[in-house]
Amino acid sequence: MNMGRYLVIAKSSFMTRVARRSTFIFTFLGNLAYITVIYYLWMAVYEGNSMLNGMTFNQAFAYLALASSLFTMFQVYTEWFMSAHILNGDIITSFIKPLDYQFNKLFEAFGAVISNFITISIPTLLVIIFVFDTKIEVGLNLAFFVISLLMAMLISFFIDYMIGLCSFYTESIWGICTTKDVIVLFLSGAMVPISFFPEYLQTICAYLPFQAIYNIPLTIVTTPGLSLMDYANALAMQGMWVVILLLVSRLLHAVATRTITVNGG
Amino acid sequence: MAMIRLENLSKHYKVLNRSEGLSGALKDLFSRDYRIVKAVSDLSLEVNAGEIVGFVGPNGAGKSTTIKMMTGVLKPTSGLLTVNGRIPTKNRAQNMQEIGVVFGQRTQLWWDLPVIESFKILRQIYRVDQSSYNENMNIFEELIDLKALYSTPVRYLSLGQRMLCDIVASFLHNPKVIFLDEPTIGLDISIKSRIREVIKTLNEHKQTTIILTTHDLSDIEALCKRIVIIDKGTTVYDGSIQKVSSMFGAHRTLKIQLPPAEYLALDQLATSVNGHFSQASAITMEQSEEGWIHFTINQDEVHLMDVLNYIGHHYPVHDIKIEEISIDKIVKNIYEGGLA
Repeated sequence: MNMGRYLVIAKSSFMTRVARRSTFIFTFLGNLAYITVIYYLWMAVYEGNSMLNGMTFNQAFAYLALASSLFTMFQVYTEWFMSAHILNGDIITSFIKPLDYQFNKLFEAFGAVISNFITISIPTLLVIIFVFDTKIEVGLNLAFFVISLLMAMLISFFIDYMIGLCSFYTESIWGICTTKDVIVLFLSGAMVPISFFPEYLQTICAYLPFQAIYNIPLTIVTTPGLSLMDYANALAMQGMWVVILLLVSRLLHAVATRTITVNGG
Repeated sequence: MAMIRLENLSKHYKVLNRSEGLSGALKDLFSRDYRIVKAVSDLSLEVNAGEIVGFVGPNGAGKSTTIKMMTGVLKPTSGLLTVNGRIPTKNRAQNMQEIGVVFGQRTQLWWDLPVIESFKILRQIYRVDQSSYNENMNIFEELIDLKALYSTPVRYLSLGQRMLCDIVASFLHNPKVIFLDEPTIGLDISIKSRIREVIKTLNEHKQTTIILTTHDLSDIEALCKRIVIIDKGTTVYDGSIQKVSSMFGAHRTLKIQLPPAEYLALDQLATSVNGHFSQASAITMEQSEEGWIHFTINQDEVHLMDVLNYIGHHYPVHDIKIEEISIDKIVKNIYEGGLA
């Protein structure tokens, strides 16, 4: 595989995102509103308690505020674009390039994630730290957090991509997309930290890939005093999901592209 | 040498038979009632290196499906297909490196980015080395004054400018074959002639094999020596454009509209035209909506002016249009033995 070809795809996707700059302002403002709401909501939840389910208020808030920041970072609409391009037939312009469609989409997503990171996540992060006066552990955890984020992005992409492949068959994936968003957000711990879930739901989540997108990186960054072994376990878990989802999505990709028919034109 | 070879190529689609109404829509969710649509059947064709072939046919004739098979996007149901000695659906990436495709209704440029960025990105995707990139960009510059557009985002280009950019961009990686799918659709006459010029120059310069589909016969006349007319997925004519032009070049369609009060006179008008001109076979007519009636006239036998004068003299004409014969009419005429 020739990396240069794909890096230029990431670059072009980054530039395209940056060209539409008004989007960032509104996503950022939306984030701020969401963070303000969860701040007061969780303040009420913690009323009179310093610790709930092993998390302090500061930890729980940092976890959820960062989750919203990560969510907007990973929100690159891969599946929506795939479905739209299938329906209007534009997908053919991707298929006539000497590129693998899945890697093409992966690097497009990658460029978009980086643009989201710079233009939305960093400003949101600054607000979380300085306006809401949230303490974030500084240390080795940040290095592991970065690695963990990369894997989380891959897992998020593979799930989006597989959903996107559905549009090769169903022509409309609106319902599937929104259902996926809700399931991922809830079971990944992005709405409520997984440690607040009842025992049986925590067990179910542990066997699903979704918690590897939000819960693992967020736990790494917000939990003080984790041992190297804890980090290694968490990253190994993510790594396993990356490999499994890569293989599964690759298989579905092969099947779907074999049966593709291009509409219109 | 044959650059493109099609032998008994067929493509069949499986299409769900849709039922009517809401209950029908619900029923369709579980329906397994398919029918087979033969988009292309038993198509054979050979195109030599450096040739420009006009590929025409009415809507739904199977042109786009054939192009998509030749580009390797669709897999043929049966038959043999090689482009540049390769089977397009095998080793796709390598194959795409050697062909270029332009779709009139879509762009392969980056919509939100300045024009020059698209060229830079394409250069990297196709691994074009710096010297051939510069050389090509100079050629494009001479042809279409590209530099003036460099910093304009693609979405701000007019359709004509965008099409010119798309066409030259498809030549950037020096492909051996280029497929132009309706490159002049929706464009005005002046930009059409510039596009033809650009295609012609690049073809002569680079000896690129070009397959051109269009609904505009004048595109074909300006660019191609050879025309392939297909209908219902199979070839109805494959030969020189001259023969088609000489057979149908003299044909014009005269469209006459009567004022609303006279709609009922249309039948009478048709019969009287038929009766007045003795070579009735030279005129075919067809009634259309809103008081329009179309006469397709072979001017070698009957002068269009005579018909017009006759009608103008006897009927209150509301509006007229005169058009060149359309591909659909030619196909119809071929079926009726026009080229036999």
